Amino acid sequence: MLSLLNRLRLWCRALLFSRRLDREMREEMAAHLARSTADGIARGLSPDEARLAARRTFGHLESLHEDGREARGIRWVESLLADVRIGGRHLWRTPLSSLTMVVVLALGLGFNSAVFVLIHSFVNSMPPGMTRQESLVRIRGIDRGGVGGRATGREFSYPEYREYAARQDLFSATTAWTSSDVVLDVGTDGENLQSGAATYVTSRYFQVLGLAPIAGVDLPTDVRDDDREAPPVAVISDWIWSRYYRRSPAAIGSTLRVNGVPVTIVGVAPYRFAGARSGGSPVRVWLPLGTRAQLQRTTDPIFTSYDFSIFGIAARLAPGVTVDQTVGTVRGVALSASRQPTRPVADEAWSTDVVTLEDNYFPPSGDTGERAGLGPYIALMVPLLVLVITCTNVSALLAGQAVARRREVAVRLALGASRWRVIRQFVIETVVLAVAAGALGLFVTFILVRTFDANIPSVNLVIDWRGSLFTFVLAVVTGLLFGLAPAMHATRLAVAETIKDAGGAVVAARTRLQAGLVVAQIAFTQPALLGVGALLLELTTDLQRHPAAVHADRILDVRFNTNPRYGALDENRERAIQRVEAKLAELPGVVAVMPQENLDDFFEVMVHPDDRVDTAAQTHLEIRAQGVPSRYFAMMDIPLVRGRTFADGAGADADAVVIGAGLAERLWGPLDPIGRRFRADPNPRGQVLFTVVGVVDDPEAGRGGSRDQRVYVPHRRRVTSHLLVRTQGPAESVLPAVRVTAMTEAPDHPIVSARTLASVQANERRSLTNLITGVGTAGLIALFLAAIGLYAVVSFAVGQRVREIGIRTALGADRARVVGLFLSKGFRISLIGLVLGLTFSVITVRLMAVSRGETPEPAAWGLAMIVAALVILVTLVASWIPARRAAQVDPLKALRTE
Amino acid sequence: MTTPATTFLSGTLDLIVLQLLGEQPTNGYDLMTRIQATSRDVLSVPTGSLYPALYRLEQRGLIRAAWADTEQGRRAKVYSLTRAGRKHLAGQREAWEQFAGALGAILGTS
Repeated sequence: MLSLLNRLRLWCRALLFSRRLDREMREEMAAHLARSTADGIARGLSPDEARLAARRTFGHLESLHEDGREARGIRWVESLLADVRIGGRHLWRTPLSSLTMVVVLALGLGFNSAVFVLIHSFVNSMPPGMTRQESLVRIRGIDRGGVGGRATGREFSYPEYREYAARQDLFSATTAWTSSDVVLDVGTDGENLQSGAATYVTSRYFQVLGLAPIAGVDLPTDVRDDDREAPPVAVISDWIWSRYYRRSPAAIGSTLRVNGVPVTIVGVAPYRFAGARSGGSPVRVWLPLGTRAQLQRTTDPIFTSYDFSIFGIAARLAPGVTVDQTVGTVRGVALSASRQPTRPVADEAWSTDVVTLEDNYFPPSGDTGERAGLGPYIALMVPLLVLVITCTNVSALLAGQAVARRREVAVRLALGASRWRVIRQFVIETVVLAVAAGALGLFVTFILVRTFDANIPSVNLVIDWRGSLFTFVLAVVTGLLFGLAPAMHATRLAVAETIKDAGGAVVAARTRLQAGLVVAQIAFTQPALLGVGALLLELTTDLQRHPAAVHADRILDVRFNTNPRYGALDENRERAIQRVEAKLAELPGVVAVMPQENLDDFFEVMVHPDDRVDTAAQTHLEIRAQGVPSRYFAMMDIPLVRGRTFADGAGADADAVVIGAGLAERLWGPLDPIGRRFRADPNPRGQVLFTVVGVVDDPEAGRGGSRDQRVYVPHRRRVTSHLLVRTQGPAESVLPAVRVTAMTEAPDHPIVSARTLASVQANERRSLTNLITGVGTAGLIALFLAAIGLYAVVSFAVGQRVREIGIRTALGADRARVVGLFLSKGFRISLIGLVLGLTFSVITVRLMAVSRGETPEPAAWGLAMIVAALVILVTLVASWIPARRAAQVDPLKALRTE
Repeated sequence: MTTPATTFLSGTLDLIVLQLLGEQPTNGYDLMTRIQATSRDVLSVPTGSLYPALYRLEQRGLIRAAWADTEQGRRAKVYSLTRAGRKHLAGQREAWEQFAGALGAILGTS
């Protein structure tokens, strides 16, 4: 050990003080010579003879110096450093292409590893706010009673939870929780109500999860779970704390209202923590389970009945117990619990498994024998493809440079450098490049992950050292791989041939390979761009299709929860919402209130054969039927141009449909559309699905080609998801009153959001715009990469033919001709790519159309043409830049190199 | 000048250098003359081998060097054995003696 340290010390000394050691060596050898000379003189030689003799015996001084340095055993390090220096200098001399390579590689690497981090975190991360803990597990219910025995998640009843909790030999501590949608009033007296979630937890919830409040204290642990007199205290989420209390310590001890009930804040949960499962609302409070009855105004016997399956469970494994050891027991508990509910459960339908908290995927349960997700990693193929393209481009650029440096290589080889030495030089250059790109790539990764992190709060994104290592290893491996190929190529040529500039065959092979890569790139870029373009087109159409409704600022969109996890969607709920509806209508300033369903129904239809006139649009239509009450049109200021609206009353007008004027025009031209019928398509029985009763002049119902055509059908109450409130003046002013009314009338069914239609639409537009930007950027990057590839090939060709260009120019070829020569070369390559790409595009367009059961729209062909034109333009520019450089070759310089 | 009467068996130069430095720390020139003198002019070390050998041994931590003034009043680099060098020498000597004994036995019997 000591000697190892000693060796290390000596090695460092040799490396760091190599100049001093050199000096000392020279001094020592000089002293030796002086002694030798002195001895010679002493033996009677003349000083000159003595010096000469001494020199002769001593040997060649310089090579001795060299041997001495060699003996220090660090020559390879020194020459490596020299190579790095040379490499750096070389890259520095061609800043533009070096920068391009670094940037291209960094983008590829950064994108790749950011996506890796994202996917890895999705598959394999703790819920936000929590850290990895070996013994912490989730007990999950599985229900196979559904269609086809497919496993779905199942919540637990309290008695079943008690059975798991009782198994202290397996679980040293257990906790259960249940969440509900609530309305939070953060001390603003109804002015600023916020919908959020309340998680009612058994005692020691936070302790079992291994969490401690970041401010204040934990929930009390000495309260019985079923104690309805439990103190109304809450731990609030970090989100609430920073949003409403500006992270002030004064928040602790203050009061907020949950569903109108005053609750004292005792603590703040850890940053981003939103429950032991990923994906919950961050607007959240945690309360003792006993307070649930009071806050949710419920008298359900949840503590004694097996009928209320509303709990999630987390537990600590007892010391020495593994997940596998618990399986038998928990399944047994599930089995006996399945015999308890009033509504019978199919035999063997219920099961339970135990997983770590990182398992975000369902069901990876042991009993199906599959582990969670390799699946998500398949998504990695896309960034990997990007990386491959990136590497191909960088390799093409490098190969171009390698050819340009053929002569340099030949000279080095001729001077006696070994092939290995030259290859090493090339590889080192690439590695220098790759390390620079890796560093930049880390930065790109960091930025991307930060962006992801800010936008996806429900996932714990971690760039751990493995992620960074991944980027760096990838960079270096890429460097080695793609540095080696050009290096091998550059050194394979015979010295004499290269100096004579006659290595044509090998170069030609190389060029063909590269040109092939570029052809492939251009060919694949086109359908990709076409896809991007089609998506963009669709999105922008969507964007245009979101015109501000006539009185968007006078219509409130009041949304209710429709997630069954937060409450049953039953008749009680409908009745409560009807009460709210009635009360809202009585509010001053409110003109009308209307229920709406969340989801439109989609139908595939065709015009009834008897009602057809001769237009192509009649055969197949996809319509989106929105259920609305008859007064909807008046309220939304949609004018009725023909026929009537729906008759009110249950069961009336069951097959009535009101269509937009645009559709009527398209299907029946000037003929009267009233009374015409639609049939389902395909439809074996041929019964009438809809009969047109009215036509409205509605921008919403006018657009959309043969798919996604909006029509209106009579509203049937099923699950009301929102109420539209039409007001006299701007709707903002009645908002507080609406909230208070809703909360008093239906405290169990709090409003999820209440906004004017104008702001809803603005939001939709904004997210569409964001999507368009994102998709557009992706398309641009693809185009950019293809352009870089072409640029590399053409500049490679230019570098190869400098002499020829010189001769041509000297013989009087004008610049335009030289430019034309290379431009046409680039163009020829891209043309092959274009033709191939167009073929792919045709297939893509067909596929897109077929997948929607349509004939391709002319717009798609137009788009394909535009994409082709764009690709031609970009490829021309990419070839023109190096071609122009070729034209600027000074014939004197080009020929003087001989 | 003398020509090397006997070429060095590989590795033996290290052994000789270590042995002589073990007896007395000295500089390169004196070491060379001592090898010649001790071996009664049979062995002559070319400078081209001596210095790289010294540096190699130094790099391996078997000897160490220090600048000192010689009797002639010059500055010279004086090499001495380190503890590791002493141990190494002992090992090498043993190996050499075994080898020499074995070789002697073979040569004696043939």
